[in-house]
Amino acid sequence: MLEIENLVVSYGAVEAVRGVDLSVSAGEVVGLLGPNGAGKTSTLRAASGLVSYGGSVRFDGKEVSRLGVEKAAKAGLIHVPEGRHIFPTLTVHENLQVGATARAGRADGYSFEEVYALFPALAGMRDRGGWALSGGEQQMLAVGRALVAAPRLLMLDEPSLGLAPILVKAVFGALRKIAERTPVLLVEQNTVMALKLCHRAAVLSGGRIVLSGTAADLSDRSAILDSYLGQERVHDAEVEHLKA
Amino acid sequence: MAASDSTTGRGRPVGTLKRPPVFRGQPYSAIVAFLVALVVFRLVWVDGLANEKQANTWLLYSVLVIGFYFVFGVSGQFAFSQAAFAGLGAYTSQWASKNHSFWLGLAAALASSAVISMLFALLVKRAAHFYFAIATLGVSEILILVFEKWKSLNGGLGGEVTNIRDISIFGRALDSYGEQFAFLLVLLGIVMTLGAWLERSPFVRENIANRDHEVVSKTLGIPSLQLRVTSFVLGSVLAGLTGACWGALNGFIETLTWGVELGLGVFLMLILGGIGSRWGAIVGAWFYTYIVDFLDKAEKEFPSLIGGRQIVYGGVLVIVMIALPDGIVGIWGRIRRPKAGAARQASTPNWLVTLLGLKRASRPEPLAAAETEASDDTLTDPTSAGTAPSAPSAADPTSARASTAGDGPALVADTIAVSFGGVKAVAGVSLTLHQNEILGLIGPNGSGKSTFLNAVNGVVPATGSLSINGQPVRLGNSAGVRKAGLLRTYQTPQTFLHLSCIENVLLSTADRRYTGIAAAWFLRPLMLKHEKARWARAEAALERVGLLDKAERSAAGLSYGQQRLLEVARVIAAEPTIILLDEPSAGLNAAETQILARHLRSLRDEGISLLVVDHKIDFISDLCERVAVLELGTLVAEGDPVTIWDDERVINAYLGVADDDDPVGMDDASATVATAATPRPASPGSTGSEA
Repeated sequence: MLEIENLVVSYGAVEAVRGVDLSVSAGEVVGLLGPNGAGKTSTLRAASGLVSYGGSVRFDGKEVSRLGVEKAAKAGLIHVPEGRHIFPTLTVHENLQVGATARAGRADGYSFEEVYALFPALAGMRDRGGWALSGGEQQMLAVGRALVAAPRLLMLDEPSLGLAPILVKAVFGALRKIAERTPVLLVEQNTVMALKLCHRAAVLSGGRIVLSGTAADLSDRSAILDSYLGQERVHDAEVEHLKA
Repeated sequence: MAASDSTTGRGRPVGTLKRPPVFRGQPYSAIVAFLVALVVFRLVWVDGLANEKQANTWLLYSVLVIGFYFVFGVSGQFAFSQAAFAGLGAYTSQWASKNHSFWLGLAAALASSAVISMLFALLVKRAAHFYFAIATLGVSEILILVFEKWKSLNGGLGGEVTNIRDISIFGRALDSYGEQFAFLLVLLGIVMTLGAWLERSPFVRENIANRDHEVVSKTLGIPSLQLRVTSFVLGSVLAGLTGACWGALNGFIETLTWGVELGLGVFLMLILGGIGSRWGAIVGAWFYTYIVDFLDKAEKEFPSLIGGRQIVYGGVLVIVMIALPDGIVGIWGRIRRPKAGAARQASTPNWLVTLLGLKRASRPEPLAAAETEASDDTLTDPTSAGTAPSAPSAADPTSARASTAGDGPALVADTIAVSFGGVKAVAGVSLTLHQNEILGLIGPNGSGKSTFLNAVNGVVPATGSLSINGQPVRLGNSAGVRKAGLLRTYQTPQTFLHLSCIENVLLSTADRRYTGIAAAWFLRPLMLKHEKARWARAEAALERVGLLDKAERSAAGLSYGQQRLLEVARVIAAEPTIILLDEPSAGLNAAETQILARHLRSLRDEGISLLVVDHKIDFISDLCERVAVLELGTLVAEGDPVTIWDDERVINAYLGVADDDDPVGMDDASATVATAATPRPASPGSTGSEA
C-alpha cells in the first residue's frame, strides 16, 4: 500500500532522513519510533508529499510527489500532523465536514456519527469553536477529521503529545478500535503505548532505520530498543504506576 | 576561560565558536567597493543630461528605500508613509533654506520628519499590521494636503515650489549633475555605513524578534515599543533626508511626487530588490528607476506598443516575484548556497508570507515540525559531560545569581483569575513557590495551567496579586515580571525562526546595556565589549542544553524537542531566579526526559526556583517535592507526589483508572474517552461509572 524506498529528506544543507526503506501493507499497523530529531516527522511529511524528497514514496504504486498533497489525500493517504492543526475559527462539526473533502466518493469512511461514537466527548460540543477546545479535544478532533476522509492509510504524528495521562489512554483506546479497520502508520515517543498498538515497528536514529521487527520482537529486545531510544535503560514508571 | 577544556559530547567546547557576527566580515570594504563601482558606472556608462539625472534619481531612491528597509524589512511595519515623509523633508527644507543655507534646511527637514514620525508612531502605538498601514495612508494624505494648502510653507502656488536653493559646500553650489552625483555618493556611503553599524549590533536582531513575536520579546525584556518607534523614526528621517536633497537638487517640487504612487513604489523597490538586505533596497531602486525608463524608450521606438508598457511592467513584476521570492539580491544568496542557518543574511521573508497568508507550495517549510539533523545526544547529560554545574566557570552567570534571590517565597500568586468572555479559565488560584523548590503543576488538558502561567507572566489580562521574591509586581506587566527575575518557556516552543540559535539566546541575556541605536553608532567599542560578554554567556547556556554545535544554525532547522531545549537555554541565559516551564518534556523521549530532569535539578541547586507544568507522571514524581493539581481553573489538591497520585479526584480527572491486563485497549475504551474528555462538570451523565 505504502512503499518507501531509499527516502532522503534535506532542509538546506541538513539531511534529516538519509535513506529509509519502509512499507505498510493493507491491514497493518506500523510504528515509527526514535529519539528527538531522528527524522520521524520528516519521513511522515515526505510520505504525504508535504516536503520534497529524494528516493521514492509510492502509495498504491503512484509516486506521492507526482500526485501532490491534495491528490494523495484524496487517494486516501491521510496525515494527522504533529500539533493537531485543527481550524480554530470553525466549529467542531465544521472541522469534521472539512475532513470529508478528501473523501472523494469512497464509501468505506467513517460517518460523522461514527466519529462522535468513537469520541463521545466531541458529540457534546459540535457547535463549539475549534479555538475553545482543550489539547485533548483538539487531538480527538484531528483524528476524527482524518477518519471522516475515509483514510486508506492513516498517518499519525505523536498523537499523545501534550496530553494528560487519562487522555493518552483514551486516545490510544480509540486508536486501537480504528486500527481494526484502517491501516495506520504511527510516529510516537511513547514507546510502550506504541508497541502495544502496532504489529510492526521501525526505530529511526540519525535519519536511518537502525532496528525493526514485530512489536513483540521489539518488546522482548527492550534493552536494545532502549539503547537506541536513549543513552540508558529507562524504566517506564508511568505504566508501572498505572499497574500498581 | 575555565570551561574551555570541557566538551559536550561531540559538541565543541565553549569559547571556540567564531567571533560574534558583529565582529565578523568586511562590511566596509563591501561599501567602498560598491561606491567605487558606482564611480566607474558614472564615468563609463552615464552620458547625456537625461542619463545623468537618472543616475542621481537612482541614488536618491536608494537612500529612501534603505530607510524603508528599516521600517518594513527589519521592523515589519507596513508603512505607506515613506514618500510623504520625504515630501515633508522637501517642503520643510525649502522653506527653512529660503533665506539661509541648504544645511539649515536639511537640519529642519531631519528634525521635522523625526518629530512628526515619532508623534505619529506613539499616537498609533496600538495599531498593528494592516491597521497601522491604514493609519500611515491617513497621515500621508494629511501631510500632502498641508503641503498643498499651507501658503507660508509652499509660497502660495498650490504646492508647486520653484527656485529652491542649491546644495552648497563651502560656498560652492552643486549645480552640475556630476557634482550632485558625487554628493549623493558620499551621502549613500554614510547611510550604508550607519546601516552596517546597526546590522552589526543587537539592534537588528532585537527588531527581528520583536517583529516576529512581540509578546515573547516583551517577556524576554526587549523594549518592544521603543524599538518599533525607533525603527519607524529612523526610516522616516532617512525619507526626510531624501526629500530635502531631492528638492535642492531638482530646484523644484510639487505635491504629486509624494503621493501614494511613490509610497507603493517604495514597497515595490524593496520587495523586488530583496526585503532582507540593505543591498536589496539599492538594487530595487535601480530596477524601479531604469526599467520604467527603458520601457518608456521602447514605447517611443515602437509606437505600436503604446499601452503595452504597463502590461510589460506588470508582467515583469509578477515574474520577478514568482521566480525570485527573496528579491533580486536573493540570487546572490542562492549562488553562495547558504549553509543551513546562515538564514538571516539570506533571509526569506517567511514572516511576510505568513502575514499575507501566501504560501509557497513547492518548498519545504522548515517549521517547528521539521525534524532535522539527527544527533543521538540531543541533550547533554550534565553528569557525564565535563561541565559539572557545581563548578561554575568564569562565564557562568549562576555564581552571582543565588544572592539576588530575596528572602521569603520566590513567587506568591494570590487568587489569580482569568476570564475569556464568560468562561473562567482560571478561577482564583493561589499558589506559592518556595525558594529553591521545584513545584509541579498538573491537571487535565484545558484545566487552566497554561493560562495561569500566562497570567503570572503578564501576557493575558488577569486579576489577583503577585509578588516575586517578596516584591509586589503588577499583573499584566510582563517587563516588570522579567525584571524581577521570572522567565518562562512555552507549551508550543516560541523560538524566533528567522534568527540563529545563539541569537535566540542572546535576546534574553540580562545585560541590556548598549543595545540601542545610539550605542551602535556612537559607542561601538563599549557595545562590542558587552556583546562579547553576552555571546560568552549565550554560548554557555547553549552548551548546557547540548545545542552548542547548532549555535549558528537557524532555529527553524531544529526539531520540536530541540526547540524546547533552545527555550530552556534562552531562559538560562537570562539569569533568572524563577523559571516557569510549560510542558518541557513534550516531544522528548524517556531518556531525554530524564536528562532534562537532571538539568532542571542542577538549576535548582544553583538557587533557582522552578514551577513545572507537565503530563509525564514519572518526570513530575522524579523531579518535584510538591505537586499542585488544577482542575477547571481551580486548585483541587496540593501535596507531595505520592499523596497526590492516590488522591481520588486526581485519579478520576487526570490519571485515569488503572487497568492491569491491558492498559491500552480497554474494552470500554469509548467509555473511558467519555470520562476523560469531559472534565467539564456540565455533563454528569457521562461520568465514568463504567470504569
